[in-house]
Amino acid sequence: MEADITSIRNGVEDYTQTVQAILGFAAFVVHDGAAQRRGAAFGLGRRMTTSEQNAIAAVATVTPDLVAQVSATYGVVAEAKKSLPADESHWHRYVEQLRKYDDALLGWWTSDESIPRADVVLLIHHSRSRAFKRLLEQARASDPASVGLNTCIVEFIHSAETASYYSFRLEYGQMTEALVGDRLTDGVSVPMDRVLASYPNIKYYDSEPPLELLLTSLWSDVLPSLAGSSEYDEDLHVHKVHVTAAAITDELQRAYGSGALARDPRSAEFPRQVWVRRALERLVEYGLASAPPKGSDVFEVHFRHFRKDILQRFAELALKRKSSGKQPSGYEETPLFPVTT
Amino acid sequence: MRRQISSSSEDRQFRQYILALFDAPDRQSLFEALSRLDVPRPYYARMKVVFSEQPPVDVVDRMVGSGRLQRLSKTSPVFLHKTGVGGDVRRRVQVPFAVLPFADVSPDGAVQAIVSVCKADEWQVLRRCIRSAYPKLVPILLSQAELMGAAKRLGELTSHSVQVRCLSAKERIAVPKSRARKTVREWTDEELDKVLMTVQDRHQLITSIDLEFFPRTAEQLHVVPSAVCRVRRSGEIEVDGSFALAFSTVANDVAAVGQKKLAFYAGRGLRQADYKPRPIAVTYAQPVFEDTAVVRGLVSLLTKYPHSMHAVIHGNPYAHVSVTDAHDFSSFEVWAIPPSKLAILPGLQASSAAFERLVDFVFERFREGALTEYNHGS
Repeated sequence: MEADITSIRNGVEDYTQTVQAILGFAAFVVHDGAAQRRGAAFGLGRRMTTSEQNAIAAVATVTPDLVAQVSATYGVVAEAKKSLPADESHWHRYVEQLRKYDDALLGWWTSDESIPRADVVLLIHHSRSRAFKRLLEQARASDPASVGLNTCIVEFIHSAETASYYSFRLEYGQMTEALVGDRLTDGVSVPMDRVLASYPNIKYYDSEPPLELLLTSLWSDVLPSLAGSSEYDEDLHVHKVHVTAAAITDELQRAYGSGALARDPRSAEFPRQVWVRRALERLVEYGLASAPPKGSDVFEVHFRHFRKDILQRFAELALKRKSSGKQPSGYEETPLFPVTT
Repeated sequence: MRRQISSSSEDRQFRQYILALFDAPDRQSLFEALSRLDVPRPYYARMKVVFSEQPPVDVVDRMVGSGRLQRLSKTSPVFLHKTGVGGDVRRRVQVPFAVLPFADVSPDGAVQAIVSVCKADEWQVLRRCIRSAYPKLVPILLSQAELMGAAKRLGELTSHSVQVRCLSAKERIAVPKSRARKTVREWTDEELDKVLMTVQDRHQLITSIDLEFFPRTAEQLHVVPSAVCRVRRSGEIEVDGSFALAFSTVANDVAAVGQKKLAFYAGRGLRQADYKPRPIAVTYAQPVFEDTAVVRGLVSLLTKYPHSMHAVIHGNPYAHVSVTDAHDFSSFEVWAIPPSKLAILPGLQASSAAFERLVDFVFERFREGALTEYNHGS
């Protein structure tokens, strides 16, 4: 039981640290240390278009975790993995994903949306970087075309010696832009404090968060903010809060997601409505909400005070659900980050 | 030397006098009457500086309907709080009070003072009544720095010499891993700066200070103070002597500090700020979060924050804790990132009252620091 709770907590921690790491890496790419570089921009989950020559999916829309443009002539496309399957044989799909991104993608912040040079980076925790590097080398040895020429691995680690920071280092490949590559070869440290001060409210990226994290956010922030104006049921001792997945999604995006970053037609929208709906449906399963009546999409959440840690409470409910035979929420994968508590 | 009430009949007589005095036709005449009043022991003129989104007097007015309060005058903001106290033997308590504005420092009326002339136990009863109106009626909570700053400022601003006569403080008991504190009360005739040094050296948390206002003429000081004021961290002032002097100096200063602080906290909830984040930082002069035991201690403390819900997202080596105020459903995320900064990120809804309560809790139970905007420069 305790191990399962820890596993769920690790999943939540993985996600929040991955968001921080992506933002830290984006900051390193687009800032020169004092200010944002001229012509620089970045987007999370930006909708990019592959070329007709793409080896995996021609003229298709792809959504890398990070697209960061240093200048009108150079950019970086990065994918961060919050967890990797324990079975390494499944890692090949990530090699394929990188191959798909190592292309003349369209969607950059230039007049014709193209860029002369771009590198593709797998942003991965240092505990997995060597193993993934080995895999990439083997793949290239057996089929040179399976790994793009501009594909790199950048490992990262969170460190808290005297100050908390994310450290990034080039582990595989060669970046085509010395401005970025030289520093990454030696290793770059981005203070976590600076990341938080720059993007204090970004909690999500274009990847579904663990359900318990989303539920915690709903219960600690979104629902309380609506409870004050809702009906209080004296018998049940709950606030009856009426919500829709669409309205909550819209607010979460504006406050903590895609809406809090610069936007244009290629920007992704996150968190997605389907994630929020799943969270609300889970509240219904836990007996904390009523499902929308037929023809309506309004959930009635029975909001009440939790004495226990909210995340802990939802983790316990998830395990109870799992033990009752329902599907687990996907924590069988190896956590990307080691347990630090 | 103040007179002492010597018999129950004298007590009854003075009580009737106070009731008549509070039944003044308007605010100005009440203020003048209070200023002329010679208050015998154990009575004191007492004030509590409070704030509200609407003027506090309007909040108190709305409480009249509950039956616990009665409005004494149609033309002036004076009220009577009536209640029963005690266990088996119930005793009726009636406490008259007025709600007075600070026209200069709070022209919008958001910060006002609740003023009464009463005994200590009656004041406790009135305080309970005020507390029950939280978060509609919110006390001004002073940090140690603000409390001591007030003492310094008053010395510079008034025609009186202001001296700290004594202070009450909490001091951590030297038992390993214990958070228990003892209360100390110390009398001093030292200069304020020296007092402050001692307080810092002993890691004391000042809860109240007694200030003496000595009239000054051509640099010569009188031996009898015009007023002695006890100022508490909770924004309460107990006056022995000149009410007018205490109100226009001490209470006015507390109100100014409160007004400034509220302006700092206001409008930071994401919804109110049109989703533009406006986090604040508590900055410490020395690195405090280098030791993971301190980080863990902070996390543990935040999980015990009264009237709240919490979620610990990360506890070590840095802290990331979500805190929801159960009084008014404000929410915050608290980050402690080494080495010397605590970031408080307001959630969708974050009232000034909830901000003040959380910061005061951190200051009192963890460490007091400097409040700033949380950005690269902080």
